[in-house]
Amino acid sequence: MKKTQVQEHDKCLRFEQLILPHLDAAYNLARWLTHNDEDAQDMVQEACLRAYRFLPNFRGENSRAWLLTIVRNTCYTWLHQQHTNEVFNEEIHDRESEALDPERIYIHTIDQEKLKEAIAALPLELREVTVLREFEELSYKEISGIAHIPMGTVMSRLSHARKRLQRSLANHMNEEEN
Amino acid sequence: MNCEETQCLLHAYIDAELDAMNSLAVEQHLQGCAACTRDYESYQALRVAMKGSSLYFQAPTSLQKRIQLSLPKNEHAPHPARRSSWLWLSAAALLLLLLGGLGFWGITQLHSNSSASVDNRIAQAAVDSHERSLVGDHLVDILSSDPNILKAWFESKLGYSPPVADLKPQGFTLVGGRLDFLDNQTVAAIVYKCGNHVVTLFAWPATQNVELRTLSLQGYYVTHWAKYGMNCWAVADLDEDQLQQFAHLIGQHIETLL
Repeated sequence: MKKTQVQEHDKCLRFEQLILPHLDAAYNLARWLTHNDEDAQDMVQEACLRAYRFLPNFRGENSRAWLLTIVRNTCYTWLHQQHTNEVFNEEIHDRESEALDPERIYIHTIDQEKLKEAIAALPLELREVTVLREFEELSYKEISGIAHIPMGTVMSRLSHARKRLQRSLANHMNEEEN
Repeated sequence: MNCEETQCLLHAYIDAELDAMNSLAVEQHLQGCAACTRDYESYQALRVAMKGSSLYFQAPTSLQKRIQLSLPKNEHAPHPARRSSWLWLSAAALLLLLLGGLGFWGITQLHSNSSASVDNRIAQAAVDSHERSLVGDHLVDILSSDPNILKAWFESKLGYSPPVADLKPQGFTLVGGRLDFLDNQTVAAIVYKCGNHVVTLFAWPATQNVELRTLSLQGYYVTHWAKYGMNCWAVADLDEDQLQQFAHLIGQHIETLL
């Protein structure tokens, strides 16, 4: 084999070992960020191609977090181009959750469909930390690296997200009871 | 630890991100406080519910195949929208391999004396936007070769008017403009054509001057400078000299506006 072929072959092997095992994680994140299957698949494909291209430069150990960073950036660029830019204001959300008395309802049975709707309805910034933390079980440090936010912000966003989820589930339960 | 402090640390506690001292303090508070314990339990119930498999989207089995087929090694079955760029990309990837540790995120400094403060992140985002505008068939929001029309359009959308010059005599034909997102803000993207090549000029207000510098990234040249209050990033797959000439012409145009 020629030298270039060997290099390409090595790159393909590394791609199969480092990137392909995390396809579900990549797709799940893209699916939650774009809200639909077709765009999510496009985002993952685009992100994988970029990962393949940059693979020779990847020196880290955490290829899942690396791939998720690329998926996340790809989705964000796309979302901005769709002009679906949701402006997220940390302060407003702080005030919002302070003002509302936290729903102290112990949730015995949570309807999965309602929970799915509630997660989908979260603002983009809260949705991404939720997906990364609850589904991928990433650490605050990893999430902070992926979403380019300080660790304190990861914590406060998770707290906002959980409060919101609880509130929408509690509202739903109240509606059912009435 | 009181309720307020506990609430503050509760999520870090749930996520096992607290140090031992604080974890212990939270636990002690929870033992004596029914209200905080109920909060804690309801958050835990929520987390348990999220483990439900119906909430996790598995990648379709066809996706892996589709991705593998689209890799540049498969020259006979490339990604349809990117047929022409694969040779470039493979060449660029090989070049990067040879350059080894020189490149971080694929960025190669062409001018070693200007290596200091180039914002690699913006360069990467600019190349991505440029590339995506070509692939996604969304080159412009407004199609016009009239600088005044484009300036007025940007002014109405952004509140400032970026440099838009008629450079047809010099070989750069104005195609139009679009809004894009760079450096955490909406910016102007002005699109030119030079032969078959597309040149994207991203512009937004600058707070300080930056000397002109050129990088090569993923087979594109990226030229950046900031002067007279305007940040400019130009991306194209032109020769380095051609892109610098373009940058020079835009710079001259900005000076005539003063």
